[in-house]
Amino acid sequence: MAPERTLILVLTLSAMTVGTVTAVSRPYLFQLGQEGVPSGSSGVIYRGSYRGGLWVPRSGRSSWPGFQGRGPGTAK
Amino acid sequence: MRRWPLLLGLLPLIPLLLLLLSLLERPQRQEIAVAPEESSTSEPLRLESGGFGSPLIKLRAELPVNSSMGLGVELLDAGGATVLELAKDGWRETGTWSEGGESGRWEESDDGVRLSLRPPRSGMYRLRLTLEDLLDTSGRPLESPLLVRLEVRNHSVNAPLLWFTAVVTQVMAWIAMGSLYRNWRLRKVLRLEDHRVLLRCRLGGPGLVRVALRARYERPSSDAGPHSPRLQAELQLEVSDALGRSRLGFKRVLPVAAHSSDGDHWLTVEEVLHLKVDEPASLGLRLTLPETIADGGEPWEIEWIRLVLEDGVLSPHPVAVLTLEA
Repeated sequence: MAPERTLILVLTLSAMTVGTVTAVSRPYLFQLGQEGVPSGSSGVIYRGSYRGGLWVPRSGRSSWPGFQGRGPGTAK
Repeated sequence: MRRWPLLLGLLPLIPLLLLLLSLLERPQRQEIAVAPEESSTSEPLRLESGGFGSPLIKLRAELPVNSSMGLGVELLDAGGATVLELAKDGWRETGTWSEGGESGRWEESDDGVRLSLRPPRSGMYRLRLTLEDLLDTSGRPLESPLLVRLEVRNHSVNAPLLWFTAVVTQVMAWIAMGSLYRNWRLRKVLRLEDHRVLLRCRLGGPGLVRVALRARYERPSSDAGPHSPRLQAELQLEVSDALGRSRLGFKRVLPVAAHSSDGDHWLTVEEVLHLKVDEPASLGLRLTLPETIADGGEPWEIEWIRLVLEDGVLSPHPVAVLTLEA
């Protein structure tokens, strides 16, 4: 088989393998015990973080500002 | 014929099958009622640390209309120790809008938490929820308990990446199959106003020689369409080697297709033949079609014959192959 065809075949199999394994094994996902906190979603505040493999709570509570002014007639 | 490259077309199914497997998982579901300024703890939840996917914890609060909440969430391990703590500020608001003489209702909310993480080892965990605030739009506390729906999946995968991988793999599979199946060499294209083609060409080697033939017949002066429903034409192919010795004599009766447009009528004959020529060689080809096709009244006469000659052809499907005599 010509080298360029072999290269295309190798690239095809590599793209499928790397993409699938990464999507399934999720190597960059936060693991409990890892330094820091997981990536947050909307309106979520972590009350601490991992340091040296231990969860260290943060003292004090953040104040919830209430409604964000969503809805028609206000800027989104 | 080489079929295995067709299997490349199945590669995009691998990421899609894994995505389907992930979606088939039955999630662990619970409903937790939390009273204002109190805590409630969920039933034990199993979080897996295995290689197929990762745990996804989803919480959604059934907030009353026009209210806001402050919800404390703690993840507790089997020993009851807090391994993660977060606060969710949520709200739900409805109202009416009017613009340009039209009006309607709107509703928006931010009442959910999605937590993707992996425990260091598989085990049982619990969630402790604390409803720190539940207020109406004026900031007054609401007394009703809040229902929180909890859903846990242990084999959540990165679905957008799997879709992207499937699309990229499909495109690359097309390129790979194209590099194998569309890699022939064009040797000759001829269009002659005759009923036969004579040519000599160097052909052969790996793959097949493909001879594609198309011819057109018309009535010289009459505009009459075909009378017979099944017209036929005999194709003759003769192949000779560099010394003029006959290496192949082949005949086939071909069906004739009738066409018409705006009162014009014509016939076409088409055929594709494949030859196996092991070593490149100078070959003489002679293709002959009938000069006329009898059809009652004025016969159809050949207008032109078109020939496309290629070699190095690899077919994904079985084809009838003509071989040269020794």
